[in-house]
Amino acid sequence: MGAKAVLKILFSRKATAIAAIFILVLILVAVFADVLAPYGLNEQDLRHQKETPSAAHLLGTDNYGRDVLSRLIYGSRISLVVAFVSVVVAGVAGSVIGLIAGYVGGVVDGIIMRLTDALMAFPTIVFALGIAAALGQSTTNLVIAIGVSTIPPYIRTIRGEVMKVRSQTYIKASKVIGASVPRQLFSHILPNCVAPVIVTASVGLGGAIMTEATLSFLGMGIRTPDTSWGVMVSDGFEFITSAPHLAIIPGVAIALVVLAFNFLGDGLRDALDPHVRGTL
Amino acid sequence: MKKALALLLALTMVLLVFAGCASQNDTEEPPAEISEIGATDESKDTTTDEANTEEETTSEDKYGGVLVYSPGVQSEQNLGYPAGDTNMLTTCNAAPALESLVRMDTQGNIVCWLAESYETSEDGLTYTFHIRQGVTFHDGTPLNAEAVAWNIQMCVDNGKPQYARVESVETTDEYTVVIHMSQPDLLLLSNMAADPSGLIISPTSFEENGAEWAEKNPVGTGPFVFESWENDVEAVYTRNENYWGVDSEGNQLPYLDGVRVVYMAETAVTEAALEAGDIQLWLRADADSLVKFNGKEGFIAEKAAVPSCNYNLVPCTQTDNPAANKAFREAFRYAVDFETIVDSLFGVNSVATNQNSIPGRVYYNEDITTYEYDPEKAREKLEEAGYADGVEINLYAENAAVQEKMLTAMVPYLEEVGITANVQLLDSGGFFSLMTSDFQDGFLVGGYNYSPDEFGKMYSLASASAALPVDNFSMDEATYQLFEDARSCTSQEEAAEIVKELQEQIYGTNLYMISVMTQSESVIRSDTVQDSGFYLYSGYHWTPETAYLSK
Amino acid sequence: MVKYIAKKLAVSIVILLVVSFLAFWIMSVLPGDAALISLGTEATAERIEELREEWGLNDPLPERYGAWLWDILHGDFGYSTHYKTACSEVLAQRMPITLLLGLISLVISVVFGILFGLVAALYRGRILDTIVTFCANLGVSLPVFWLGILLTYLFAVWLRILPVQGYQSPSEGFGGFLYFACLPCISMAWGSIATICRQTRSAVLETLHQSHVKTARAKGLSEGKILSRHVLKNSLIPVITLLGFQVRNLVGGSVVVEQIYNIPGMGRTLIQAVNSRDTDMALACLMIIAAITILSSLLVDIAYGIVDPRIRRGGSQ
Repeated sequence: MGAKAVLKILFSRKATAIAAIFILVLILVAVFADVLAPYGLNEQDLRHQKETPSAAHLLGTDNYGRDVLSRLIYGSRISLVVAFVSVVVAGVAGSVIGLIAGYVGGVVDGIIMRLTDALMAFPTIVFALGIAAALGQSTTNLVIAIGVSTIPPYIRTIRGEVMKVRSQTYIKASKVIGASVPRQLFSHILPNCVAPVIVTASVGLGGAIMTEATLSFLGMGIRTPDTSWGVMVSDGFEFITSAPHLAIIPGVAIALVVLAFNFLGDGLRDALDPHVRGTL
Repeated sequence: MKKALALLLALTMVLLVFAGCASQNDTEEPPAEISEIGATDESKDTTTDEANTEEETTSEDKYGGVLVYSPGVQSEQNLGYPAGDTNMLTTCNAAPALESLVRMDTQGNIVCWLAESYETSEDGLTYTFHIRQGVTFHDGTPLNAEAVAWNIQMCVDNGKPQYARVESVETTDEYTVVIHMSQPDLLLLSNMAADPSGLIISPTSFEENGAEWAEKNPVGTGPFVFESWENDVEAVYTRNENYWGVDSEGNQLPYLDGVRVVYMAETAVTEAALEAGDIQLWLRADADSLVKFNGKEGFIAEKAAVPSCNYNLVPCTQTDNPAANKAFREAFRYAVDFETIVDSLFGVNSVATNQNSIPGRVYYNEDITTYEYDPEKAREKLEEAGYADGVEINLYAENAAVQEKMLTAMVPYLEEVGITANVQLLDSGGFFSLMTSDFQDGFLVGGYNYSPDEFGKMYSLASASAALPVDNFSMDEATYQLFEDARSCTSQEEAAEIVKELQEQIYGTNLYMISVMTQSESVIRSDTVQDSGFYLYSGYHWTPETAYLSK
Repeated sequence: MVKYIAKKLAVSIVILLVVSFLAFWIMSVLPGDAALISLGTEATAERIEELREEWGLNDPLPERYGAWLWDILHGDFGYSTHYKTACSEVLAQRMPITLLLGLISLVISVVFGILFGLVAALYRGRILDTIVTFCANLGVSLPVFWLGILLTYLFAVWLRILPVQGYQSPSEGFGGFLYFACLPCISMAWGSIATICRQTRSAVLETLHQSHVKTARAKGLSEGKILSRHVLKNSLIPVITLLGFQVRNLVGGSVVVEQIYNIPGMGRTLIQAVNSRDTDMALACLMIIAAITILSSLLVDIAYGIVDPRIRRGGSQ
């Protein structure tokens, strides 16, 4: 496959390159938050509430007088962790299950699909509430809740692709030739599944951040003293007319990150698409 | 791709500019002062002190219009069965249709309403009420002694704790009701005035249709007749053509054609609705909204003259945890700058307190032992308690804006002296469950209650005969006895000495509870709403008969 | 085909059973119970116990579940402790509202999603593609509640052309219905339009490059025929897959949207029921939601079969 070749194509597009760099910078910011943030996460100054951006506070302060920029930096940690981990959980689990379901077919496929349907019957919000209640409200449980409830798309997409590819001529041809099962899986089926998984994952990353924000809005998300961009948006809503920067800034941050993930996803899809790479 | 980036940058700029322009508030200003409602306790006086009308508003001009208001989220499932299952906010939204025998003004004084007058015997064992004549229920039946006695008797029969000391009720003539007590009860009248169980409904309608129907259909003597109620959505009332009240010129009240109660869950949405004119009045608005709408063109933010909603930190005293240790509680009290927190977050309608009362009130103890903000002393006390190396503690509260803000603001102060506080916000179910049967450690935020009768509030929170006591919270016998002694007094003045002693025992010497603040019930209204009648009388009740909309 | 559907239906019922038991169990695990919440902290301990007995809250879990199941099988959805009336009564009022709004949102998102996606793919690289892709990316990166409130402020407070909140049923006037339903439906559909658009674009682009399309072009078929016969049909498969979750997302979105726009629908009722531990009501809502989702998944499977006969045949090999 040539990883170098893939990377080269990936970065040939400006959009993807910028998106990748942006995400990298963001990860660095999250890791070095303690060094970069000018104020503490919960350092409050009740006499300077809801201030607009100024020299002392580059992005202003919130309703407790806490520095928005610092909270944004610290919040990036949880937002990114929640997003990445839940997508990895969902993606890996979902892909494996979907692969099995699509390839093996028959009864196994039937059972897996029924279980998937059962899982899909719950909206994420209700599911998360249930898990939070049963396990207790915490960041870990939130990741589990979001991760598990977003598995179905991966299962279905992979399964759909697998079944489609499986029935295509060249697979039948390779079976006739006598290629072993793993060979079929890896050299024929998997490459065709990668692109849809990546597209799903890139949307999933953004979706995870948004789900976390919505859960915070409904009162079930990350709890104080931790914060995430989602929490900042939903907290900031209360002041949408008096201090809109509180809701808009983290909202823009979320939008930018999700856009970056989407661009990256698109770039990866194109880079990995055998047709685009010209091998077919 | 370049175009995409360009679009993105443009959008971000637009949003940031919007954010910049829209934040007009100069944050060096302290929270604005908002005006008080009804500093006097005149009930049906229509001479207002609103200075915004240049011409005289004649009585005819006042008629017409429908008042639409939002009380926040719906909190009741029982509109018309006062003797049934009620809680503090129940039947608040039935106020257009139901009235009580007496009312309590913001000073805590009892004012007659459906009762024209009343007498209490010297020994406090007999109450005689003279019922107002010429009043009819919405179903046409008359209000008389029999109807009133029926209402009171039903409360007694249902075991309502507020009527626990009532021995019997009798009617001595068509319009006189006499209540005999087994012991004097200082709280009886204030309960009749402030508690939902004091509202009077028509016995006839109830007996015809049953309790379940009554819960959804309030039939009373109020200025508005109940029309419909869609759960969690809205309730509608129309004008009662046969209302007994008249204004100072003799014109029949009410002025409004009707009232609509709209339930809205989100602060941002309620603000938007108010601005757009979809609603004209917002009850129990939060501090930030009050500040925002104060001085805004076309709106008035007001608060009740006397703050009546208390917030206390109640410790878990019966298990082995830091909060059970008095030295720790002292450390906690010294560590947090309550004044600054209350002032900057809730200053517009709240005031920090060191006991369950405020200066100027009959139950206020001026000589109470106080704990001023002092981190040094906090560290000393912490060491004394044995936590010199730091300690962790849980703070539990219902997931509401006030509690959340209060607790979040406390955390950094506690951190300063070495106390790591974990704020646990629970939904109603979780919180009630914790409070009544699962309180294992730390503090919980409790005691908020909307009546200006401070003793009544303390009683229902902390006394031994409280209906539903807080789990694993206990004080000493002597203090509990003080509660009962006070209740057996026959007047507030008589009880004052005992209650002041209670304040000292609970909030001073023993620091059984930490008093945080007391909040005034507040309302934001469009300036076309006049004489709305909110919070003229006790906390959450409103008296809508004089409200009108100016054109 | 009929056997296929019948089999799936039977399996769906099993799924519903599993779902119902899980939900019942979760409701029972949540701290606090309906009686406590209903009465609040001013009730007496005796009264709370009384109510608990009356509502059967002290019975063991399997017994309560069994009773609930028995009732459901007889068409009785149980008693709502929050609304103090039969669940079916509440549902009869609220379910149609959510269904109607959801349906409208679904139709909007499918129609516009596919349309925009197609346009973006066909005009790839040009300004139209850039705008559509950008908007679609924005659509999937804005949380529904943020969008909802932003739209409210723009159209209801600033421009004052639409209402802040509320709902009017079509029977009371179709114009009024549209007036109130406008913002909620747009808020709900926005994310779905974006998702479907993106996927359509991606799928169409992929198909356009595939060999059989190139073959068709080489054969000399017109672009239009290529589009309809080859491209569209093949790119529809991943989109059909998406429809399954869009229904679920719409239901989840309806919960938030109903909260913001104060619409008396099922989503809001569900949250309300969970908060007040109204088990019967919560389960009733959940069952209906589950039924809707499962049904839509069934329809998706059938559509798969229609669109790509190879899958149908391949599946039974």
